[in-house]
Amino acid sequence: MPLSGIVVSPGIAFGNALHLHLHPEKRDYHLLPLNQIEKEKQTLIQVIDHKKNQLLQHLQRLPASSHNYQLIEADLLLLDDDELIQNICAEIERFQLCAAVAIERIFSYQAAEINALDDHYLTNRSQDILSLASRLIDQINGAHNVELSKIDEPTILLASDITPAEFSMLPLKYITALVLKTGGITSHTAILARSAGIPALFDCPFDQESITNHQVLALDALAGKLYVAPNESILSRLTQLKKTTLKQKQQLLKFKHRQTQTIDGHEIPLLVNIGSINETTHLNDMGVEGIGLFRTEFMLMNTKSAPSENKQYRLYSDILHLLNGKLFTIRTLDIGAEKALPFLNSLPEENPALGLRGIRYTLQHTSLLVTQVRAVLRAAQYGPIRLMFPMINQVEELEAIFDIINQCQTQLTQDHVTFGQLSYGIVVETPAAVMNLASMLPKLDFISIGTNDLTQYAMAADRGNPLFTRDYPSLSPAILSFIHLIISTAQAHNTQVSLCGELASDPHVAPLLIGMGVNELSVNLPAILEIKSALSNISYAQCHLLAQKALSLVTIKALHACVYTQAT
Amino acid sequence: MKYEKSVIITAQHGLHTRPAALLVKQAKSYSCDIFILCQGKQASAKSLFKLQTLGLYHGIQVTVMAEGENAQTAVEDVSNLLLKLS
Repeated sequence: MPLSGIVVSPGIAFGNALHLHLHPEKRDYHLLPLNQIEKEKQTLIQVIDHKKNQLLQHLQRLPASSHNYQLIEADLLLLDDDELIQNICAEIERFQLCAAVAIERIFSYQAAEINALDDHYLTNRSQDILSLASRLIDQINGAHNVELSKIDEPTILLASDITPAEFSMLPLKYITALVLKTGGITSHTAILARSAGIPALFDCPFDQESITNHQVLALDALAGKLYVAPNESILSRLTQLKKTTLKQKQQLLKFKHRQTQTIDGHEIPLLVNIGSINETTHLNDMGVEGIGLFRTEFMLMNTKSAPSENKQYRLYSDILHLLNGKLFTIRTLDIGAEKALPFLNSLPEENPALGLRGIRYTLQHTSLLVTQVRAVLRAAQYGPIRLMFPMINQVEELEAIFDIINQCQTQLTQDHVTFGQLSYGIVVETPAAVMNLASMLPKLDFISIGTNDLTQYAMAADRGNPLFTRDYPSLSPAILSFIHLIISTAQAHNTQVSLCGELASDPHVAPLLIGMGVNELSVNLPAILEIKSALSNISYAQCHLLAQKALSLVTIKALHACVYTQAT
Repeated sequence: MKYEKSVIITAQHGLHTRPAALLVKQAKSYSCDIFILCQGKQASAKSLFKLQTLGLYHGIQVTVMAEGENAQTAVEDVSNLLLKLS
């Protein structure tokens, strides 16, 4: 019996299984029976010995002068400490704790004690202590941290969850597919997997014990099925299917250099969503009108500090050069929520999706915004840049931003630094922005509808929560009504409407959006040719008819029947 | 026998992990017990774990104390090392 899940990135893949986090964290806080205390102490001693050996082996492979060598040696010395082992054993005995909890407690006391010192340099050490503790606890729980750099065969990665930052560190050359226990179709990791063209199945309830590492897996991320140790007939069927899809893809290649237009010649500006610098290399052979969404936060993810104005200026200028006169839409840093950056010490929030994120974050940390705006303004002398702001609710936020932009322009002028003019827009992604749109449009040159977050905030439903992703699909009557309202308001003000959410990348939905009056679509790289093909099969009038019909439907079922049975 | 000596921490950032690790390595080469005393707190010089809680800042005065075989040599060597650590 295959396992099923939600397809978040389509495709067929084969590979050996690899669990990224083999076991979830588990701690047993129950009192240990007295007769197990001795055994628990033995476990502790074994685990520490084992970790010491592991560190020692690691050490022997490193040059003694390297920074890592010294850090590992320090870990080794921390563990090579009879007093420490005595303390943990005493904790196990006194409170009848299991070894993992005793380690957690002793190391946390220690970290807290170090933290209480009033020397910044020394207090940083408390992090090392906590990290060592969690590695010991992982060891007790049998978790093995996979060394990603060691993957050298086609691998299907299994994990309960992967953050966008973790995804960006995967060796994609060998990762043929990604299977997660959690996650939804519009989570950021899903978007990254789709952008990278890696087939992915989320919300798949695989059993960690029943799939061992290196077991052969086959993923049908068209039907949403994961096969463990597939037999010959499944393998040959899927191999065939993979060939067919590949062939379909090749047939799409004829659309590469064609204009995006309906069968009756109505041209539609098709732009692309870009989340990494690597993706920009394909821009010129896809026949698109430019970048409709440049997610600047992703370029910061694996760095240790916020990039400087000059660094950003060079990057934006390079991309403009590559675009050769085509539109470049930059979204200011959309940080916070799940897209936390390693170098920002953000306070933990109870509800990050409703917390300090998007423009709220950058308006409270204006130096980040000023750096970015100055870099964008300077780059704008080399080509057309549209700057848009995420998570805007109301005109007050726009006023604050434009104050900052004015200050940047004044400062640049005073410093005799040349800069260009920008077009301004917002990402419409909260219900409040929809309601306040009329008051904001006079200040704007365009708007872009961000359907992923709009869905999350309209439904009050976490987009990563697998418990209800099936109940709240991206295409629903409520979201269509929102889009309809946004378009009518924008039309009344003669403002261009772009749509950059995942909906635009769905070849069945794109004609509907055009029929509703969306002026341009911004889609993921792998979807470009399919969207061009879908639009080339339908007339502009048919798009309008489809929109009229779809807007009259009040249930998800009827809506999906209408949209997904259209021939594309 | 017991022997002790006071020294001032000269390491630029105080005795953080790396210099502290060097100290522990040195201390472990002696069979006698060696302690570092600092502002009313005391830790075994052989325990990196405990040593880190002392708050051995740059410029602070500590006492190196040893008891047992070769206590004097141990204290002199450890003190010299403390002065050399940067």
